[in-house]
Amino acid sequence: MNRVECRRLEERIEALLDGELADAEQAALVRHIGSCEKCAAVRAGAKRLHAALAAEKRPEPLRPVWAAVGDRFDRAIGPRASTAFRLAATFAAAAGIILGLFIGSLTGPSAAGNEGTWSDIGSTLGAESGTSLDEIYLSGFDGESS
Amino acid sequence: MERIARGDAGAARILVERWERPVFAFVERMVGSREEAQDLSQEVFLRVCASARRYDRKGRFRSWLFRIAGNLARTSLRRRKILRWVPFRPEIHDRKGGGARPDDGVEREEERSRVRAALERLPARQRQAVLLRRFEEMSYREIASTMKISVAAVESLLQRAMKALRAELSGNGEAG
Repeated sequence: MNRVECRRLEERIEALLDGELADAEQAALVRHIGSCEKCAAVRAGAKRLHAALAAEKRPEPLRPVWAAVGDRFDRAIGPRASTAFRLAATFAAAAGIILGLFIGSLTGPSAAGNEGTWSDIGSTLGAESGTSLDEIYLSGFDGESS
Repeated sequence: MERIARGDAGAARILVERWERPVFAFVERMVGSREEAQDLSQEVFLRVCASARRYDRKGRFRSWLFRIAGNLARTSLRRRKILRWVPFRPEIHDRKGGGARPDDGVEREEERSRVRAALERLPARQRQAVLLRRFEEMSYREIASTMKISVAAVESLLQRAMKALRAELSGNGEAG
């Protein structure tokens, strides 16, 4: 009996039976088992245990798992950016920017001064042509040349 | 997983129905209670769905799935440690209204598989390694990936676990 080999087999019997050893080591241990009754018994015992575990009946779920998971699926996933949602968000952002620029142009410093300037120009034109300010402004929208 | 990440409930259902039985079996053998395993299995799949966007396709799905299941099962077992005076027997944990009655557990344990009882007495990590190898037939490398340990550590866990099982069962006249 080779005690070193016996000890080695005890340490590696599971890996041997699971085919996880390198070829050379596996071959050496198999050779030793062939010449050692004690180690042959160890291997036999290990194989019986493997068989007993394999014979264990698999426990089955009490109920289909999806029944409970499905109810909570949306919450588990959380907010998600669908294509439609992304497009809507992009459009809303663009509209917000345009609106912001427009409001800015109305309320900015240069805009305040324009009202008086345009009024002065209209009054001057009206005085020279004999027409009212409204008539001058509105005629421009009709496409008539001044 | 990509479809699940986009909110496809149909894809999630397919995944759950494909994996619910092995996950339940694994968790039940880890925690020793069918009701608790049912709850934990649901939690496993909810976490899978919640993590779908972060799923790394380079890894193996089975390893990732059983890593989640193993972590949840071990967390549950750790919580149970505060009730260490309660025998680790599913009949007690499944009974409505709770309460430990060791006499009932002693009577019923005699009826149960000696192998299963011996499995339940293993430390959680040894038990997990045994379940993944013997019932899920994972390679040592895959178990290492699942448990985030080295292959050598897997072999060590299995060696110690199986040695303990053999010793316990040979003491009862069974395999070993």
